[in-house]
Amino acid sequence: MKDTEVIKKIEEGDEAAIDFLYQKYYKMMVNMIIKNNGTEEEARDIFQDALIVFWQKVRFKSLVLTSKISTYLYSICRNLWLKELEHKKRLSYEKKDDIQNLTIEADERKKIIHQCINDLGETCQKVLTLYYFDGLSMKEIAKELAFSNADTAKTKKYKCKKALDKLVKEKYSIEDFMD
Amino acid sequence: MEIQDKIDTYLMGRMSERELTSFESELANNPKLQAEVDFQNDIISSIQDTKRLQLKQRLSSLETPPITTSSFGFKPWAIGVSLLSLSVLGGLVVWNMNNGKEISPTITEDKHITRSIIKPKNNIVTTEENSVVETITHKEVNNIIIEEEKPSIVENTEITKPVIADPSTLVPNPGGIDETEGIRNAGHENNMIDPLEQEDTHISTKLTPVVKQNKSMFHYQYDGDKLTLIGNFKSDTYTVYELTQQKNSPLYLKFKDNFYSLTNNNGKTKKLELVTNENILSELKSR
Repeated sequence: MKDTEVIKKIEEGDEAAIDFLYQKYYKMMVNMIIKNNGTEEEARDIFQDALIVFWQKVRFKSLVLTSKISTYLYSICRNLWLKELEHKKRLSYEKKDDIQNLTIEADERKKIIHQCINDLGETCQKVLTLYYFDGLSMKEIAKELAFSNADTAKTKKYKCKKALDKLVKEKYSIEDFMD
Repeated sequence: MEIQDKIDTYLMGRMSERELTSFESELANNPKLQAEVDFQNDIISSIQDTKRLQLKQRLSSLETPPITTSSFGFKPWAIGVSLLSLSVLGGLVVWNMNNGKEISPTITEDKHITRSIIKPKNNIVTTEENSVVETITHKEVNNIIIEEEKPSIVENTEITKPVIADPSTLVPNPGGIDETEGIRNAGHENNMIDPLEQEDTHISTKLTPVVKQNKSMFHYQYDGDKLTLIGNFKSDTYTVYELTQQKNSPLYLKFKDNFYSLTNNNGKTKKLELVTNENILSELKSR
């Protein structure tokens, strides 16, 4: 598959395009990180994150690709890995207990919200994901989900978001009582 | 714009500079709005994380090519070539032995080089051309056997003399002199120390004296900062020792198993003199 085809597929929301990139460049990206003191597991994680960044850039239409996709992915991987190394270094200086407490709290909160998202209907999940993750406009969401127009998409998104807020607030208050 | 839309636009980083300034000042004065923004931030980042996790799970389930962990990236054919080379070399050795020929060791120029770690000091030592050279009469020096080496040549080199951190340390000379060019920077061309070359050593200092070629003449100039060796030192490794770190204390030169003292002569040319003091000799030999 050519680079232009890959981009076109991502623009259409076809996730098979990143499957293709993952398998094609796995060895190249993972080897680069392993050679820079990473494990294969860390390398895999970074490469997956890089592909997600790439996906979002294309979907957000904020990408002007002036090089090959492989070159671009390589630079994202490299930057993410440098950031990760910096993060590791910083962690070793900070108080681990404080970080752990903050992480547990945040994880708990996220777990509740994640549960609420799963409790939403499939269409709501799609609308919210296309809006908040893929960064699509109402017009694009309408086209992708076959709604009649952008206003329908906007109303749907509004209702879905309201439903999610309500679910989360209910869960939060229960948690508050439990505390 | 409704407040929910405003929060969305803010959290997704889509506000204009003007909108952003206005919204942030509103946030600073409205704790209730700030609490709502925090809550919405949790929700939006969870929506994004959920999708991110789904994509990662999808990618993780795909088949990927195996990663070879060898940093040398050996290929089967490379191993084959290596084995073949070894067997050819082995065959040659056996052939040599069977023909009764003696195998002499080859001395390469690196053979004499002792690597060291230095603490540089910014004393610049400059080579001087056309120095007065006197004939040396010392028989030990004249007995030196000259061997061929292939030194690298640097003319008019500026050499930084290091501070010698440990008086007991060995000071190596990394090479000899070129007969035609005369002046040679002993060691690295630009006196930069490559950290990769500092391995396998217990030596903590290095002095790189200026060496001037002059066949069968062995003199020196030393003014406390700069050491110039004059003579044909190309034949073997020489070593300069410093027993104390005082500026005016003498240095000692080891060359072909002899020790010579290098006293501060204010930069004048002086013949090499054998060390006669037994205590100093035994101290030098013990190093």
